[in-house]
Amino acid sequence: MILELLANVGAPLPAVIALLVVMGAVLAVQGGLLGVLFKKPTRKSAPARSASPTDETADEPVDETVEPAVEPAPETVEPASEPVDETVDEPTDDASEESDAASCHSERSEAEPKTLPEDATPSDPEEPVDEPIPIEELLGEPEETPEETPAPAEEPEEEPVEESVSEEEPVEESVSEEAPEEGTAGEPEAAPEESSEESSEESSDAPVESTAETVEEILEEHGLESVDEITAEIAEEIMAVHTHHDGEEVEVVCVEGLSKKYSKKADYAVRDVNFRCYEGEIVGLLGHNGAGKSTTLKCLEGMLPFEKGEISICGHDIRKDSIAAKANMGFVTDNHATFVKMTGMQYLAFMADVYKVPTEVRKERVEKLEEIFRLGPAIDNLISSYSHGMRQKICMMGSLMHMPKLWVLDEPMTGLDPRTMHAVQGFMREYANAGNCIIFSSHALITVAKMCDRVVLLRTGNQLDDLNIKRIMTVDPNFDFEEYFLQHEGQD
Amino acid sequence: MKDRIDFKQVGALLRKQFEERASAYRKGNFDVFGFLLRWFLIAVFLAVFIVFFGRFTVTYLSVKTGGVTVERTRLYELLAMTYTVILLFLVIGGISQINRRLFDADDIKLLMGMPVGAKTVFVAKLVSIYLGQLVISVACVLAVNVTVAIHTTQPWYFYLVTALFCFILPLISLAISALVAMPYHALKQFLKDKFVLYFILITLATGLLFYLYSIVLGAVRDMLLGDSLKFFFNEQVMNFLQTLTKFLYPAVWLADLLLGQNLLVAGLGLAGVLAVCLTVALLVIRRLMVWVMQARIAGDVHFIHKKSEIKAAKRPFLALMRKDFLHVFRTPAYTFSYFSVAVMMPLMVYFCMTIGSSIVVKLIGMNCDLEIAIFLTLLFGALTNVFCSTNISREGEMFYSVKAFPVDYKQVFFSKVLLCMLVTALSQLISAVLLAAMGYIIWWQAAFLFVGGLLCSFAQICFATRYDFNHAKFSTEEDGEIKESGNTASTIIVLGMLLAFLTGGSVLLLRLLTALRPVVGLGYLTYLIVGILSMMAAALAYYYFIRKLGERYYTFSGGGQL
Repeated sequence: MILELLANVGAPLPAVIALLVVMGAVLAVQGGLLGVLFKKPTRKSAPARSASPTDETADEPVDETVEPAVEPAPETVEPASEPVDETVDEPTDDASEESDAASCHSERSEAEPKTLPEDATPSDPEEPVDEPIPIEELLGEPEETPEETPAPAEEPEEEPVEESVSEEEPVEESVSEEAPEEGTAGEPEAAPEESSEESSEESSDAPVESTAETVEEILEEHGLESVDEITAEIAEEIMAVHTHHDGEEVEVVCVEGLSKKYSKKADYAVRDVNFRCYEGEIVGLLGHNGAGKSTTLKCLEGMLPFEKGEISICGHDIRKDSIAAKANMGFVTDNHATFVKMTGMQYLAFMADVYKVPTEVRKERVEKLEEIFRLGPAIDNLISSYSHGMRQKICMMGSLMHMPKLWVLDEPMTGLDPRTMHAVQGFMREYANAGNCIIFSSHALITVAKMCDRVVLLRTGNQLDDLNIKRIMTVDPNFDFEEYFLQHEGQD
Repeated sequence: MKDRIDFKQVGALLRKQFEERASAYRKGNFDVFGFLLRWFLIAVFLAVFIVFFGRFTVTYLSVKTGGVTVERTRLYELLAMTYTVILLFLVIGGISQINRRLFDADDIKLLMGMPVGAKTVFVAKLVSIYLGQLVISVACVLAVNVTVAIHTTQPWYFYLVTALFCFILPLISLAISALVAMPYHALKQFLKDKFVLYFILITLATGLLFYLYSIVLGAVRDMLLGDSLKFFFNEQVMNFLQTLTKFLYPAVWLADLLLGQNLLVAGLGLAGVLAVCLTVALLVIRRLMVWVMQARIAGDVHFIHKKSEIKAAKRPFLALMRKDFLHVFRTPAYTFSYFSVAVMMPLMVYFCMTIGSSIVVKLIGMNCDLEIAIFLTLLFGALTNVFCSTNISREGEMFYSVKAFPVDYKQVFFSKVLLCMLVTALSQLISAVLLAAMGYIIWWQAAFLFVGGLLCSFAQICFATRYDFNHAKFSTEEDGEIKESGNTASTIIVLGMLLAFLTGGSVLLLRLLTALRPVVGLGYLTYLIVGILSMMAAALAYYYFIRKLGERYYTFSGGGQL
């Protein structure tokens, strides 16, 4: 009929062609091809620095249609039969109780004051905190832990309100909403800070004997007989209190009840992992091979889907608001996968494009990163010609082009030469001090002990601990983290 | 300790290689549909070959020289020429296999650090290459000899020698390949970082091959037109072929053995060639292999680019497209199968158009140029677009990294689709312009051809990209190159050809029917059918492509790397 019509009207064949073209165009527009092609960039500057997460969310459509299941409260992880339970379950339970009460999007609301001021953090990561600090000062609060430990469990009375708010509101808003409520909590903040200052002042003058006295005090307090037991005991005590982070800090990462299976029939690769990371923190993910470190990081990076739990980065849910979440993150994978057919410089330009880094800051960033990683003229070579370590370097450089709020590294020190390793460690500390957050997995216990503020311990997919390692090391410089780790590893 | 061949280790290495290959057929990895399609394609190819070769054999055997038909002489020439082609085919395959399994294989690097002797590794690799060649050899030899046996009467030893050839032919081809493999490898290494030069050379080589192919097609046309093929084999041509045949060693010995003549000379000659080639090849490869391996372990070519500064900002979409372009352009195998073939596609359409047009005019005395042009454009377009069947797989593990980038999944996929569309659009445009310029179609028909072809290509690209995403198999090679033509490629070829035959074939058929019995008002039927079918194909493929893509992108954990 159309044909006859065309023939009768005498429509030229180009009309038929035009019809084809128009229909093709409609098809493309409907599907979003043209929309994708001609969409303007949504951010003008580095997302982590200039654009607020809220802006990004507004500009970028949420494409993932998968509804993140509102999962029931995660089950307690540790099997009852395990002897380690007594030592480590307490913080884990606390964490799970906390996760019951608060969602990933909420600002942490512990009234617990910040007892470890930033000044106490060594600016040079090469220098460990050797100066003994009187334990009674630092453990002033933990001494009350038998009574105070369940405190987080009492908080949920307030939390449900926050949860309902925070599930929909970004972090900034929840902060502002919480501020009046925290007025009361804010008051005691000054005192502990003073006390910590005092403690640091005292620590410089404090004789070594004072530490020994304190240790004895603790021995007495806990009825311990052997000095050998002190490390574990102190660790337990501190863990009980310091599983939760101190202070009113902005949450960068929140992982709650994360459970991931690689196939329906398989066991969970990670089960009910809970941790939060805050601005200025370096958090280590530690565990044996196959413990679930890389899986956790891949879920965090948005590479892998997960069955249960929630992950948010800077308040953006990795599933609901993935683009905004990913824009605040830079990552380095364990296999150092890159686009090997690009030159190093082309790769950096590509990463800058993907993360929408403005032209004017790119050169400066490349120069700054080159100072740290020193690829030299090889930066203009094809990445396929790079050695393992060089690939590691270019991956790190690429992941930092947009100076992300969260820097995730899977086995970052593997393959690096000693000079670069030293430079990277220093940079990591500086980067965290600048208000960013770093999460990395590693097997190098010494590096972890030296670098990290906190350590999340994983074993066979379960979270064992969330240790404030910096705090422990400050309290007890002789704390043997390696022994502690191996002790837990041995408890099968 | 002296390096001796340890046959137990050879067995262990062969088992390893077998298990690696067998893993593709395990549950979860096995794509039944693609596998069946692949074998279907091979079967179709063999069937077409047997039919055409049978007709050619009959025609060639009846060619007269000096007014006399000497079937045995013609058969000798035919077998010598055919076996030369088979040997060439096997040698090209052998060179590729040697380079892939000996020089480019990753396991060699590991094996070099193990207490496995170089000779043992070398022999194990050669055996596996031989087994691969054996399969191809059996298919070729049986197809040729069975066809010959159908059309001529052959004694019992013909069949015996046929069975023997199945095993000997791969040995000969392997020996020759081994000699050529090293210079080929050196040339490949030389061109590895000279991307533009490589592109030009490989495109010219492809053009030359297509030109030779067009000559073969010309012969096929003459064959289809009956007596004209006999006319093609005139006195001059036959003299040339007879002279040429004398120099086609070692194929002439093979022909001698098959026909039971000059047995001693042929047997000794063949054995001599085999011994010399194998000895030289073994010595050369074994010595140079160590050097090649050490060069590999030392690292890739250090091609120093000019010192550059970081480029100005681009949209993420364009950055993703550029990334894909660089990946394809800087990977030799991809450059050939993507860009060179696309550039040469218009020539192929043109060659076939000249043949097809003349056949139709001669057979039915009417002009169906537009319909033939549509058919050829869609057919070759479908074959050209096969490159998009690795749109996802070629990304390798980096696909997971791309998942972690703050870019919408639509940008990730559409950047790939658009790059493919640009390549195919250029190809289709040149084809249409060429056909119009040569007077086969008029300009607005060329425009219609371009749009119709583009819509079909869009359908194929969308389908291929999604199909590859659903059945992604990441390469384990260091450079992420997909070296095996996978089941996805077979599926895309079959579906593309189906669309081409359905659309092009139907309009051609209708044109013939309406020419016999003209119907008023059906002049536009060709446009209508092509328009509707191509749009339907585009719409359906697009729906298949986009359906639940975001959801699948989030849940994607395939590729075989986890």
